[in-house]
Amino acid sequence: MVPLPPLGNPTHPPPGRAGPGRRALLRGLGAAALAAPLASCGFVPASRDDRLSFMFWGSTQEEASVNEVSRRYSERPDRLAIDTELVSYNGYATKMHTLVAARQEPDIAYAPQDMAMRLGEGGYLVNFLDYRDRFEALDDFLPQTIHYWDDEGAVFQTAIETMVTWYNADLFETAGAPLPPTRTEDAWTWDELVATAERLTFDVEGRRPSERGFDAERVEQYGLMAPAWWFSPALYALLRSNDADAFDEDGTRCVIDSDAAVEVISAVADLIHEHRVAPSPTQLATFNNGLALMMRSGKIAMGLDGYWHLLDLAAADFPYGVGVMPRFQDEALTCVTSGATCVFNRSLHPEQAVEFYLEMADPERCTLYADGLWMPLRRSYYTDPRLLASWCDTEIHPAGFVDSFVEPLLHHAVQEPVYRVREGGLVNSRLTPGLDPIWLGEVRGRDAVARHLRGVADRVDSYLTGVYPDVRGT
Amino acid sequence: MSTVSTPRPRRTRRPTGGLARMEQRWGVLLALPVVLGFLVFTIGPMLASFVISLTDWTIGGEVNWVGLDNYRQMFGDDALFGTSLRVTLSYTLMAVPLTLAVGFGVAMLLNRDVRGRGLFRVLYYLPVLVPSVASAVLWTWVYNPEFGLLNQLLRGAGLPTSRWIYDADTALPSLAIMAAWGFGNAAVIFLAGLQGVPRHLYEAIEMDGGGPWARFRYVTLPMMTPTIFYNLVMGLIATFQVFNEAYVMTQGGPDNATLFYNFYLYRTAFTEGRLGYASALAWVLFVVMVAVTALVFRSARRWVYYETGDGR
Repeated sequence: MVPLPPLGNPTHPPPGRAGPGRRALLRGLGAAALAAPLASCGFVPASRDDRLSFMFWGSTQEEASVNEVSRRYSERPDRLAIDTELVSYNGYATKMHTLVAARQEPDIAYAPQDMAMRLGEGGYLVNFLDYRDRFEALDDFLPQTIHYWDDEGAVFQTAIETMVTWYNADLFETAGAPLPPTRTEDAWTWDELVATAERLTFDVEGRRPSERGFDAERVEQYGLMAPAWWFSPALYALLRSNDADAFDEDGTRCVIDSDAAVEVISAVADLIHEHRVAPSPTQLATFNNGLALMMRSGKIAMGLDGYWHLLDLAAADFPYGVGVMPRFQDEALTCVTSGATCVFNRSLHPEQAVEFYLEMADPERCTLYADGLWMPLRRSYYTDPRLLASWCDTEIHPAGFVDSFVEPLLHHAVQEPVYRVREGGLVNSRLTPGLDPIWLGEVRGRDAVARHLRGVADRVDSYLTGVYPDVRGT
Repeated sequence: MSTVSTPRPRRTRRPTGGLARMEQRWGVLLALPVVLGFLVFTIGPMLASFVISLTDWTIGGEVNWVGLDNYRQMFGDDALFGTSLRVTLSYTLMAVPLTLAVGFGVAMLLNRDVRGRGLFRVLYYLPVLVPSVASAVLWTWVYNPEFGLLNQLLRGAGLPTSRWIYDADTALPSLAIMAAWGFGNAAVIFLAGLQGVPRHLYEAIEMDGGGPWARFRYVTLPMMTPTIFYNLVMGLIATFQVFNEAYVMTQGGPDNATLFYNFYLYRTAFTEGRLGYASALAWVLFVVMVAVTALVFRSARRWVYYETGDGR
C-alpha cells in the first residue's frame, strides 16, 4: 500500500516561495479584468462596402413595401444591394443605442425624433443638406419635415403624419348625427364635439349618457376615442388650439399647468369621466384592438388620430370618413408627427444612402403613401394637382380628404415638440405618468387638475435643458 | 580582454514531486476558465461601469468627466430615483413574505401523507417552469378588468371588482400576488428542509403532551430557520432585481406605481441612452443590495438555529 503523503507535503513549495508566482498570476488576472472593457471598445468591425444596411420599424406591410423599393433601387446600374432589417418598435431604441455604443450603426435607419437630434448633434449623422447640390429633390421638402440640430445640420423626417377626426359613417347615419366638418373654417367647437359624441354613445339598454339610468359600466357604443395619453399629437394640437403648450419657448420650463392647458386637459378627461362618451384607459386596455377595428365593430364612432389609420381602415371594409380636428379657440389645428430617417457618417456610401432615402420619400416609387400609411414629405406632392392625385386620388381616400389633410398641413399645422425640446423623449417619459391620475379619473375637477399639474410641471422642470433650433420658416 | 563568464547563481529549488506539480498545474488550468470568465465578464464590466458612472456619457453625445455629479443628481434632482427605490422596496416587503408564507404552508401540506402527493408536488412546482415573460402575459389576462379571470370570479360571487394592474393603488400588490404564484421553488426547498427535521423531536413533544401547534412552534419552526433564511436571502436578491413584470405588463405605470428600480435603470440606459447615469444607478442598487443582505446575515445570528452550531 502506498503511504499517503502527510499533510503539509514537503514537496509543495513553501508559502514564501510561492509569493512571486501568485502575485504574477493575480497581476495577470487583474490585467485581464481591466482589458475586457478596453478590448470591447476596440472591437469594431468595418462597415460593409458592397451593400447598404437599412434598419427600420413598422408592420409587415411596411416591410414588404420597403423591400420592394430596395429591390428596385438595387436593380439600377451601379447601385448597391440593400440589407433591410425590420426591428420591433418596442425594442428599437434599445437596439439602436446598443449599435451606436458599439459603433456598429447601419448605413441608414429610422430613429426616434429625440435620438435623431442627439445623434446629429453628436456628429454621428450625415447632414442631408450637404447633398442639396447633388439631389435637387431635397429642396422640395416641406420645411416642417427638416429639423435643425444646429445652424448648419438637420435631420429629415421619414414621412408626414397629421391629425384628423376619423369616423364610421354608418354609425353617424343611424344616430342622425351631423358629420365632422372637412374644412378648417367649419371645424367643430369643443362643445359641438361633445354634443355629437353624446348622440353617438349608448349603453346596452340603448340609454344615452345624459339619460337617467345610463350604465357607464356596460356601454355598447362610445361616441369618441379621447386622445387621453401623453404624448398624443392630437392632444398637443388641441392644447395649441387653446394657445397653450407643454413647454416654454426656451425649453426650460414645463407650462402644462397654465390655465389654458388645464382647460384642455380637463376637457379631454371629462369626455371619459364627466360626459362618459369615451372609454377610459382601463377599459381601452381590455378592448383596444386598433382604432379601425373598434370603429368597424361599432365600439367607437369616431377618433382623433393620425393619417396612418387609413391603411387599416381601408382593409376593414366599412364606410369611413374624415373631418378636421375640433378647436378650442378660433383656429382648428393639426399636429405634424413622424420619426426621422438617418444616414450614419460611418457609412462607406453616404451618397447612395441619401439617394435611397429619397426613393423611399418618393410616392411614385414607394406605395406606402397611396396605401394610407404615410403622407409625402415634398411640397410639390401637395401643390401640384397631378402629383397630389398620384397618391391621394385613390379608392381608399375618402371624400373631403384634401380639405381635412392637405389644407391643414399647409396652413394650420403645429410641430410636435419632441424634436425641438432637448431630450424630448426623456422629458415626455417624465410627463406621461404625471397625467395618468387625470386620465384614470383619480384627479377630477378643474381646480384639482390645476393643482396636480402644478406638481407635475415642477417635477418635469428639472429634466428640461433647452431647445434645438428645429424647424425654420414654415 | 578575456572575460570570465561566471556561472549565474542558480536558484535552488527544492525538487517537487511529479504528481503534486501536475495537480497544481491542472488545478490552475482547470480553474482558469471560471476565474477568467468571472474577471472578464463580471469584474471587468463592473469596474468599467464604475468608471462610466463618473461620466455624463449619453450614447451619441459627448463624454465628459463629471465626478460624483450623477450620484448627486440621484439624491437631489431625480424624483424617479426615489420613486423607483420606494416601489422596489415596497414590492420586496410584499412579495418576499407572501411567497415565503405560501411556500412554507404548501410545503407543510405536501409533507403529509396524502394520496397523490407526487402529483401535487409537480402541480405546485409547474408555475416555476413557466417562463417569466409567458407568465407575465398570462397574468395580464388574469388581471384584465373586463374579461379577466379574477374579476369574473368576483362578479360571480357578487363581490366588488378591482382594476388590478391598471390602478396605481392596486398595481403593486397585484404584482406581489403574481410573484407568490411562483412559490414552487421556495416550497421545494422548504420541503427538503422539513424532511430533514429529526422525528425524535416530534416524539419528544408528543411525550410531553404537546399538540400540533406546539409541534410547529417548538420543533418545525426553529429547525426550519436555516431554510427560511436561505429562501429569504434568495427571495430578497431576486425581488430587488424584478424587471419582467414591469416591462411586459405595466411599463412602470400607472403613474410610476410599478417603476421598479431595474426597469428604471434599463429605461435610462437603453431607451434614453444615458449610460453614465444608468451606471451610477446600477452601483447604488449594488450597494443597497449588499447592505440589505449584510443586514439580513447579521440578523440571522438572532433567529437562525443551526443544530450543529452553537445555537441561537
